[in-house]
This record gives sequence, C-alpha cells and structure tokens, in this order.
Amino acid sequence: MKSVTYGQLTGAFLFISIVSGFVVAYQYEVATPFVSAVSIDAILPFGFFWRSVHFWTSQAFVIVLVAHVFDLIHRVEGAKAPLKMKRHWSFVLFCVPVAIYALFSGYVLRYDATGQAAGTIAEHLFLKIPLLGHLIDKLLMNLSGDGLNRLYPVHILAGIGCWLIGTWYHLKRVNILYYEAFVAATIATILFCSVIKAPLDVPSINAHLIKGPWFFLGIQELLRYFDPLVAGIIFPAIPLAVLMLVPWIRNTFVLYAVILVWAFAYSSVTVIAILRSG
Amino acid sequence: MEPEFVLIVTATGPLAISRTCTHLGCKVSFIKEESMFLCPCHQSRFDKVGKYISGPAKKDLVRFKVTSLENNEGYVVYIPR
Ligand code: FES
Repeated sequence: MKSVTYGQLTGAFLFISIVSGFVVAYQYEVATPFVSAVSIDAILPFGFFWRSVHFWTSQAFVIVLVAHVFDLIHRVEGAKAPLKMKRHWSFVLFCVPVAIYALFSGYVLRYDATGQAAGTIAEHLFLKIPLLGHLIDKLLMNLSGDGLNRLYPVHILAGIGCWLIGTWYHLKRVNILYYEAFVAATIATILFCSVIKAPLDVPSINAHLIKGPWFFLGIQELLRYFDPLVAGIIFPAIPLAVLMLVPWIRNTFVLYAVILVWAFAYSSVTVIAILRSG
Repeated sequence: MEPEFVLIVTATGPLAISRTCTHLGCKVSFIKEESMFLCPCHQSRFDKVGKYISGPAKKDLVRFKVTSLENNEGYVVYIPR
C-alpha cells in the first residue's frame, strides 16, 4: 500500500465532511437552530452518527490541512523554487482561514451555549475592524441583524469554496480523492463516530463560564487582557501573514522563529483557558 | 430575568438592566448569592444595578427605559432596535 499524504487526507476528510453536511442539512432549520441540532441527534435515524461525522471530519480536515501546509513548506523556500509555485502558495493559503471559518461557523450554527457566545464575540470582533468592519460583518456574520440566515449559506460556501480551490485551482483536477487516503479516512471516521458523539452544550440563562471552540480558546483568553482588535484580529492573523511571506524572504529562520514563538504563546494561553474554572 | 434584560424593582422604581455585556456582547448572568452580574465569556463583573466592577468590559451595563402600567398590572420595557 502506498503511503498516504496529508494533502490526500485533507481532500478525503473535506469530502466526507461535505457529504455528511448535506445529510444533516436536511434536518436543520435556521429559525430553530438549537432544536434542530438536538433533534438531529434524538429523532433522525442514525442522526447522532451523521452529526458526529460532520463535526469530527471537519475538525480532522482543518488539522490535516495545517499539517499539509507545514509538510510542504520547504518546497517554496529559497531562490530555487519556481516563481509560479511561490505565487500559488501565497494565494492558496487563503484556504486556511476559510477552512477555519467554516469550522467556526459550524459551532455557531448549532447555537448551543458555546455557539451563541462564540458567534456574538466573533460579530463584535468583526465590528472592531477599522473601516471594513461593518461590511465584513454584514457579509460573513450579521447575527444581530439577520439571525443565522447569513451565516448558514456562508458556512456552506466556505466548505464548498475550500473544495473548489483545493481541486480546480490547487490540483488542477476535479477528482482529488485518492483511493488509499479515502478508505483510511472513511474507516477511521466510521469507527470513531459510531462511538463518540459530537458535543452539544445546553444553553443556560445563568451560565457562569462558557468556553468557546478549542481553537478559539486562546483568543478568548487573550480577550480578557488585550484590546479586541489586537487579541481577536491582529494576533491570530500573524501566522498566516508569516506563512505567506515564506517564499519571498531569504532568511526564513526568522519567520520560523516567529511562528514557533506564536505557537508556543497560543498553546500556553489555550492551556490556561482549558484549566480555567472561573 | 428575561433573555434581553433583568427587571429589578427598587425603592425608587423599576430598573431594566440590559444583559448584553459591554465588552463583546455575551449575555451576562445574575449571581444571586453575590448579588451581581457576571459575564460567562471573559468574566466581567457588574454590581446589582449594572455598574462595572471588574474585567475587560470597562463600561456599565446599559439601562432600558421602563414604565409601570396602571393598577400594578406590570411593566413596559423599551428595547432600542
Ligand atoms: S463579552 Fe463579557 S466580558 Fe467579554
């Protein structure tokens, strides 16, 4: 059996996530999001399995995508890498924030305690962006004005957008399913999701502490101490900006050092947030 | 306690205090034992009439206009949209 690459797994998990997304979408009602999420688990035959598949394969997609980026970064380093490949790298990296937003919006769409709080915070963070904040919020979130009506199509478009960029633009082919990777991802998904449910955090009118999605915990912690624009927008954008610069800067050591320090700082605050009880 | 506000009747009249945290908009909870509002997102605290105590919020909770109906039939709270 050929060895499976991160890139192939990225495609496989995204494919399973999109297919399972269509299955849960049949039961999902934007006007009653939390009730929909509960009823998918409780009423739909195998509903808990499909919601679990959608939740966990979306997590796996984003994690493997990040691994894929770091796995191939050496190819665009230095003067020898072709210019075309460098440009491609800097552009296709936009898939990472789009993928993270697709994942994040999934939390908001189930509209449990975590989703409600995360959505509200994200909306306020968008509004802090100078000049473009209101426009970005209107396009990507608009919870306060439009409930989940805006976020729902954005969530679907973000997933499909990742697929289109990953296939048509990135690989120049429509079929990116590699047999071995697809079989491995499918077997892992079926085994895992038959046993482990997707989380759902029942909203309470008197919650003392709400923790956001795991990848958002560091930002949530930083928001306690720093200005929202710095903690919620500028700081999380640093690694993306640095990764985009990798092909264009000679001394990549400095860039990698920045990413390493950033990753250490972010994991440290995430751990603090995980341990926090009030 | 309502999703949008908490109504308190004081000696000087009714107060409708918004539950929207002045930091980043999460809904604050009312902690009875300590008689204060607590934001579950980043733990900003406000006293029982919504005055800022601690945390990243920095500003007091907003108060909505509230009027009493005749014959003690209840209150009308005006939430600006
Ligand atoms: S939203 Fe209330 S403290 Fe941040």
